[in-house]
Amino acid sequence: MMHKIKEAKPKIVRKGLGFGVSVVAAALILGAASSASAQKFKIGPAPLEPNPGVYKPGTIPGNIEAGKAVYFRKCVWCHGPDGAGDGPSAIRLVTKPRNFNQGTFKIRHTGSGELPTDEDLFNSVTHGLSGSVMPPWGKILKKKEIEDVVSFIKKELVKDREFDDPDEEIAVIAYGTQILSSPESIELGKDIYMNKAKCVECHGLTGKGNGNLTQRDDWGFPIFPANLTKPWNLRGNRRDPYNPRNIFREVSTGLNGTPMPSFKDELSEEERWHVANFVISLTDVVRPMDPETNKPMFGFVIKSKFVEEGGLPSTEDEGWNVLEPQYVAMASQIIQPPRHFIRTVDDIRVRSLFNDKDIVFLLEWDDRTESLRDENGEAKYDFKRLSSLAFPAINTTQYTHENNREKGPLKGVNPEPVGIYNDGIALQFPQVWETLGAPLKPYFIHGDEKYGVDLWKWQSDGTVEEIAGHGIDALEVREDQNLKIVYSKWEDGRWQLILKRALLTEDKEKSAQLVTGKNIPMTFFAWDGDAGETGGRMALSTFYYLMMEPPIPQTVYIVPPIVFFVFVGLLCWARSAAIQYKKDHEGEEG
Amino acid sequence: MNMLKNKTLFVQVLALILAIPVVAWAGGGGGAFSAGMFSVFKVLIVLGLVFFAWIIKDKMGIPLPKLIQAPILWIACYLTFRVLLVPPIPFSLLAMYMGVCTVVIFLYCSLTTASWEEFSHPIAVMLREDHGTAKMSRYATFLIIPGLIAFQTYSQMLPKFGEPIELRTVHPAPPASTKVHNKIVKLQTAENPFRIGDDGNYLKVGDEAQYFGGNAWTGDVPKFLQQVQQGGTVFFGTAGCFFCHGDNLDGKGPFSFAFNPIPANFADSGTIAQLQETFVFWRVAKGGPDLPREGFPWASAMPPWEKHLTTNEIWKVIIFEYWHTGFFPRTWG
Repeated sequence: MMHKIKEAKPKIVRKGLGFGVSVVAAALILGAASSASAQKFKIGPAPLEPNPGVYKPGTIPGNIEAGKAVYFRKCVWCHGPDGAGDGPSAIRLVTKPRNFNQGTFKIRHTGSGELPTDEDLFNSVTHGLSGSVMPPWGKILKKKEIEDVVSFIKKELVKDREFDDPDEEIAVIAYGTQILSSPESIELGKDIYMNKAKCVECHGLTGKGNGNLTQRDDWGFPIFPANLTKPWNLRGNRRDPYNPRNIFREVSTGLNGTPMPSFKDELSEEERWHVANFVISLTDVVRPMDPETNKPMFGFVIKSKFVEEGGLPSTEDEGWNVLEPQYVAMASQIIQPPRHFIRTVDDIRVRSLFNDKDIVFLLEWDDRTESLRDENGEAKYDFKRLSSLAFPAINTTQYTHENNREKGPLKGVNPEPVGIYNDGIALQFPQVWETLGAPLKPYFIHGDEKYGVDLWKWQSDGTVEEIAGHGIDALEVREDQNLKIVYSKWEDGRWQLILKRALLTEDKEKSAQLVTGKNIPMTFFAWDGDAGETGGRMALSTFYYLMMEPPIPQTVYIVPPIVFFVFVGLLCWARSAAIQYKKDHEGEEG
Repeated sequence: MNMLKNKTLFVQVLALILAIPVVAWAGGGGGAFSAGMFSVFKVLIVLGLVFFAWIIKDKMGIPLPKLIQAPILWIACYLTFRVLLVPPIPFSLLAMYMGVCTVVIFLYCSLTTASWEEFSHPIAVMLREDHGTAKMSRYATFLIIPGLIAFQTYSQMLPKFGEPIELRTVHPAPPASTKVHNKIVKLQTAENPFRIGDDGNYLKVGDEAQYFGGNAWTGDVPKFLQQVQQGGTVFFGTAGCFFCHGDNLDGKGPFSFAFNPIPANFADSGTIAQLQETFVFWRVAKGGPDLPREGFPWASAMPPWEKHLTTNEIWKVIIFEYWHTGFFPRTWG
């Protein structure tokens, strides 16, 4: 038996061994490499699309009574009992809930002014309408429930038009042959965007939606052109934001009820594909998307890189390439009075560098208008400027505030008109964060009575202040000022700002001291002056951590080679032992 | 000789086949496969391993050396624990399982002198022989094993700049009582005043199930559903809870992506379904700032709603939350 093994196997065994070891190693290395490069963002499933040509609605059957039950559990709170888009939430929203009564729907496969197909309504419910508060109900309701609720809306809530009107002929657009994105196609699309179709007039030179800001929709609400550089916020993105099909569809059909027209007749099919490819190319970085939120993924650590030689950058275009911009998510300050529900800055892109003395932050955020405080100016909340206050008065008398038994309009819904404010941004660090003892921090909105914050606030009139904060109503501009504006510029709907401060300052109590290698708690705030944002009416983030990365210690490069040679040595020793063993036993076997 | 070559080829094929699932698994973790595809794929990986081992050993009559059997067994065990078990087991448990597997496989290989010889012989050949293949295997081994260890050392030593680990208590212990709008509410005994049936009497927990899924807006609306409607109006209108807690009360509101800790998901059976109504009342009335230290009061975006709502509005919004999610509050005793 023993001999048999010895005789029959050695060759295979040896081969196998070499292969076994190297394959396992190769697999490990490849595995590590592929998991590092597997940061792909999800391409959504192929959407349900109606067939092109003439369409008769009613392809998706549903039970109207069952749909009504779903509607009054889930939908009524925004869309209202009559489907008039006047549910309780409507007073808080800027993109108002859809008023179904007129049968006007934005996202369709049908011609301008036409009713949507059943598939379009089904998709809008299933995927939600990104950038508005309409969530993707496909993750919540069963397919049958969505079909039922669509039937109910079509039959009972669309009142001015009939879906089964025999005279109404609905034309469904064709996608034709998709032209894949290429530099040539993007160049052609750009020409159409700028010159032939004049998209630029509303959507702006860089697509930030900062063109014509004086328009209203069919219901009288101010409406602003879409910011095309954030495709994840486009209503019709179907949770597949980088897919040019969505853009092709919207260019072809227009958005009913809004100033966005259909370009089906002006532009050929090919031209519409070129425009779609150009629009998708407006996004500076294709970011990995979080499938849960349909927003770019982000981390809570803001990395700052050490600059060894040469000064820190003084403009936006040099020296920053070593860093990817880091995305900071912004919400409205809906927490403390004055509560604010409709912030316009929904993210900030941050980069940071430091040397042995100073730290610099490059902050970039989208804002359709450059605003400056105008204390004596008339309120400009007609529709010349972007303003969240420009909405028609909403009757809120049905809500009573029983704290003071006061009946009448809810506070904060239709505030008194005031002047235009500065745009602004602020970074906030806890005072004496290094001695608080993690995880303890001051309250994230400007601190609390016990624990203060160091607030660095920049405003578009060129002022920059260091503020000691002990709450939203307890802010005090400090005397010693260390913060400097290195660069600030508003262009085509985007602010760029570089702030600089010494790492260490004299006031150790009230001014945050910044040191390397530590997680320093950090919060962001932003104000859009034309939207009436000032003081507590602002956008804010949760806690992030600034991490000033220390230089990598030399030992990292020294120890691994030593380890390598130690193990080679061990194996060589094993080999000599094996040879010795064989020599010693040769005589015995023979 | 020809036969030998074939067998060699098969061992190589097997080794390659082994490598594919490992690579695919590592890549697949990053999202290369959609969820459904991936779970089928996971089963195929393990079945495939067993199948090929069986084909080669029993069908082709190629005896698999112990040195190849051992890693196949080990990888099969690892993949089973790592990818087949749902939900995934924690790393510490995985390490324990694999420790036991390693011991068992070692025992299997070293049970008899013959099997130990079979297992260790190729290693000895690789170490000492000077003919072609042994030499090549030796060079590869001498490079790859120390190389991997050195690389591991390097990645361990590289400074990490991750988020600090801060453990937060989601449902901290409630106080005995809480004072809201100058009235003391005892959490042990207080009752929701809007839990009333059509006869105006208190509805015991569980009895409200008859109203679940009912229409609170049109037709003849029962008293309980009128409270639900008013609570919903607070949730969506007056207070605007949905901005964080979501249109479906699932914690996925339009601002939820910006907050950390994330807003509570009431549609999950682990939140309001596990709590008394009075606990929810305390949380709503006092919000983030009144949390004890272990609840991270500084980071919670939950407003103290007593500043914005009346006591009655708070009780009504609680009625609405239970009605919408179809859960019952936990009761004493």
